Amino acid sequence: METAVDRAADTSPWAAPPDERTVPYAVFTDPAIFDREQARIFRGPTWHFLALEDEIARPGDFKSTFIGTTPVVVTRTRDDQLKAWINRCAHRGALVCRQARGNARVHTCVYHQWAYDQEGRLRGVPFRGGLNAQTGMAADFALDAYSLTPVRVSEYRGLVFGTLDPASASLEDYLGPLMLPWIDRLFDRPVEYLGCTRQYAKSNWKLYYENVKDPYHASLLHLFHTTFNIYRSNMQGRTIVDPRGLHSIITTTPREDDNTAAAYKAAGIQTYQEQAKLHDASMLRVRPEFAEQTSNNIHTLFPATVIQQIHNTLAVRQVLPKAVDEFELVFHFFGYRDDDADLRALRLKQANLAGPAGYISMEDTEATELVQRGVTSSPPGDASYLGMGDETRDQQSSLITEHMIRSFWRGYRGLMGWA
Amino acid sequence: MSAEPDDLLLYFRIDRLFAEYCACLDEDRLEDWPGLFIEDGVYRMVSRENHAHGFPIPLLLLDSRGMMLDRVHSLRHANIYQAHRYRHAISGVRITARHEDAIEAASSYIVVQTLGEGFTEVYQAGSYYDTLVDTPAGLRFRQRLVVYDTARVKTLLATPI
Repeated sequence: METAVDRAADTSPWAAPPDERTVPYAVFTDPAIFDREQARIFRGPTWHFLALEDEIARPGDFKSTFIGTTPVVVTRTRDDQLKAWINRCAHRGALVCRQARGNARVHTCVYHQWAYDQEGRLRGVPFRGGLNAQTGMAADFALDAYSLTPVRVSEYRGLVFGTLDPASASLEDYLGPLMLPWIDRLFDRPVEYLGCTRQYAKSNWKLYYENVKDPYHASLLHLFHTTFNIYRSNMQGRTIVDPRGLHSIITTTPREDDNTAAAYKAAGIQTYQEQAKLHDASMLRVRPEFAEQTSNNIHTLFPATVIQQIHNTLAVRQVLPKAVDEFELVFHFFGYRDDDADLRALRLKQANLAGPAGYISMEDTEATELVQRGVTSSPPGDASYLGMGDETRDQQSSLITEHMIRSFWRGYRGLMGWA
Repeated sequence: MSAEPDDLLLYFRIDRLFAEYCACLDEDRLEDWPGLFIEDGVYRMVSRENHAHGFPIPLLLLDSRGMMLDRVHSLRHANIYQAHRYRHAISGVRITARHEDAIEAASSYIVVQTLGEGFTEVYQAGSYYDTLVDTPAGLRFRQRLVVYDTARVKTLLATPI
């Protein structure tokens, strides 16, 4: 559906045909493009992580969250159905649910106490029939015409997703056969929600999405890796993109015969420090728990979901755009219900690695803000350059590549109507 | 604590420990910060949101002086973040329990942060829940639980609170 806002950014900021190796900075700074993304991507045919099923395990449990900038509540009904609705009262548009999470049979808007059931159906309106001699609601008013706007929900192996577009493909088709096995790998057992961390970045949400599709930066920006000899760019890697360019996965698996230290030293790369040793390396102990014990598994599900396995720390990250130059990042940490005490304790300790204070993640939001500050006020046509990784060769085993970012922008242009 | 100590003296000793703690973090003496904990002391930061619901995931969990030294070493030599300075303000200190060998204390904190551009803003507010023990070196932390109200961490958290 075209809107006035849509037409405002109707012209692609890329020249035609687009140079795949460039990204015009306007996509990070132009409010009209941000509004168009909300309409065409976030309210369009895309699926968004809303919650782990375990977060809303009991009937009545609910969680407030967002799809893009749209406030959404996801809940489990008394008959064990997963339902979601836009958190906007059908009366005057106020937020109905004001809590982050909880348990409720009825959701009542505080403004005029319109009351909705767990499925978002309007159940009661005060003074509907009037009061004494005063008239009530309009004669043609019908309760069932004023329900909360339903959000389509689909659950896959304990992950609850929602879409605002009734015409979206099924969740399984949307994720596709190349990506589903990577979800199956981490969600092969019932999971237990362990809590979340939140951080707020003064930068465009796509700068973060570029970051999580960028293995090139890993050993160069995150010096913890190299300082303490944890990650090297010659680890066995995978960088796989789905055919539409939207989703992708990076995995790294340590090699037995690692001699990168010598290679880094020979190349004079300054991130290598030979003598650095941790006083207490208990955090870096790994409990093998998968057929292939990858050290990193960063799985991006367009447009705003990232599934993470780093050593034994597991999380689903949610990217929530707030403004053209602001987003919130929420890490939903989880373990498995059958974790023994040792493994659970290790997962909590390895939370030091990821999240807002994480040894190998704190720089990511910093980097996105550095770009945002750099590109503000850049002249029209100014663009970034994504030339790493030669497309004529197989990129799927390279960790020094920007091909996943190039693919992301291809898929993005398609959804924005700029192909 | 062996004999029940005089409250005034005990509160004074806690105040001196907290002042030293703030000086380590606010005056760029990070290397001295782990020494305010006993060898197997625990520093744990958890959001108010997780704490209230009983969700265990921490923002930071350093359960030995060695891990605290590693945090400092990593901040000095590995991690990349904006130069910043904290100012801690601690208030409402109260002793909440007395045990044979330890006392428990609770307090509120506000941390303001100044970045390179020269603005100062409230970075975080929350509570400290401490278990303190007497050592030959003085009063020390057996555990400092930091429950932060400011759920949305601004950009990142490098230096402990």
